[in-house]
Amino acid sequence: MKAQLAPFDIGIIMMILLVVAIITIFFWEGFHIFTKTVVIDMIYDTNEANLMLLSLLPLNYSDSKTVYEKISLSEYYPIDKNFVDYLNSTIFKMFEKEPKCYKLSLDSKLLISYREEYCDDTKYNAKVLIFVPYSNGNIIKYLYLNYNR
Amino acid sequence: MKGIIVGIVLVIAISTLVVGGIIATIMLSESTSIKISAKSSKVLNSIDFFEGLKRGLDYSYLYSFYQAAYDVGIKSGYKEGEENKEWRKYSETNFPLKYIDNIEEKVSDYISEYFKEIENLVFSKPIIDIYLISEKEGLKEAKMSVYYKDLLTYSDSFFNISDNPNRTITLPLEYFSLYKIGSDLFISKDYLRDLIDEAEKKMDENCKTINLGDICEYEVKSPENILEEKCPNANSKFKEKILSELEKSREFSGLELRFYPVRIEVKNVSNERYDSISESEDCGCKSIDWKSVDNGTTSCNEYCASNNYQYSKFENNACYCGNCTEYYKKYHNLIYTYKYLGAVKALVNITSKGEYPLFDKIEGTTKLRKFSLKFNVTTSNDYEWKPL
Repeated sequence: MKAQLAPFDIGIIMMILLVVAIITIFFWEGFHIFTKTVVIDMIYDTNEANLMLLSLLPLNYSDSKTVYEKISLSEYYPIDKNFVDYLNSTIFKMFEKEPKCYKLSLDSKLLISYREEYCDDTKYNAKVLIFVPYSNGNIIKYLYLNYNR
Repeated sequence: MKGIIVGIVLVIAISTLVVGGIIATIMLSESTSIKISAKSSKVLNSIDFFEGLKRGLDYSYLYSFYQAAYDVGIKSGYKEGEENKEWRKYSETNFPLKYIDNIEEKVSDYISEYFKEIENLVFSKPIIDIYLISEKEGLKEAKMSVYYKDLLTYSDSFFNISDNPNRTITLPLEYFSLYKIGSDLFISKDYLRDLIDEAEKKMDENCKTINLGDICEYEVKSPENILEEKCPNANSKFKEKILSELEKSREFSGLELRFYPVRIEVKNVSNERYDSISESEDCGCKSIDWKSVDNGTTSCNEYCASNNYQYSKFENNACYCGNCTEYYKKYHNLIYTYKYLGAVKALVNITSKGEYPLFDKIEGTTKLRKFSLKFNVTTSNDYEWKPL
């Protein structure tokens, strides 16, 4: 009976438990929301670049060729200045305001760029698979769009 | 006092446990949250990737068709390993009726090759259906439908993204025109034979007809000798004429046709004709009916002439007189004609106007090339003569 807790002690313990529980709940929720926000933001960034790239590819360029086809066949029909201008103007229009930089490349080959020197570490990055004509080498390539707003 | 100390110790212990539990819960929550986020991110990225892939499906199908069509075209419409028959062997014809089936099979293989390059992509064997739409004027449209038993699936350990990859695309019509032209020229007709005939027509007239006029029978030489005199190396000339015809590049509906001769055999067949043939004094006497005569003191010549003999001769101390019993014959308007026969085995190559990115297995490169339909034909301008 001597080691029994006094009602006062029990009250203190309960108080401490309650405070700790309340702090924990709010802290955990806050952390959880923070984590979620970061991830969703990252996904949104990627998705925005992807959407931009996917919107660009089916556009019709001249002589009934789409942008996809022109890029896919770029090894056989070299990209000329007109097409570069077309890509630049189209990509520019997709931004609400002038971007800091962007670059569009097929595998390691740079197709077009705008202020490339600011594009070392880009926030918005997209990668789309491109089918290229049959060969004994790569029959698929990747088109990359990287930019910073 | 002791109760208070015990109470404090208990409070500290319980608090430590509670705080530890809370920290553990937070760490676990964080880890779970990161995992969920990472998975969500992967799913969303995969959706983006899959969307990109779908955008390119039409092109993978089109490039597969290009390559399949090229492979089958250079094999005369047959597939590898299949007997590559000559489209024409004199009067016998062999059109590759299953050339579209062969292309479909190849397209399916090439599409599978494209898809195999993509990690985590699950697909069933593509089923290909190529169909041609014709109108009175000819071929109007060529389409290819690609469909599958199952959906195209992008798969990972914890998710699957599936979609319908079925598509119908328009094919370059000129590829099928290659077969149409080939069939029209070498199956329905024998265009190569027409060219051999054309070469014969272009032979010099003195190689085809030699008019000897009125000529005594002993002056007549064999048709071969006369031909060699009047038209030396006639067969070689004919061969050159055939080659000259085959060398020309021809265009049909914008498609180019070329011949590559493998072997050529030629010969000529002579024929003689004349208005009439009859004995002619002009040609001289062929046979004399000699009689031994006693010419006395008169010379043999005078004796025979005075006795109305046409001919006289003095042999072995005896005089002979005679009359002609048969004269040499004379051909009136003798004409030799020569027909030239040519037999040709050639590779026919019909090529498209447009160029497409095509891989050539022999060269080992992909570059812009024309579609090509290559096949062999053997024929002659007389199907009875089959030297090849």
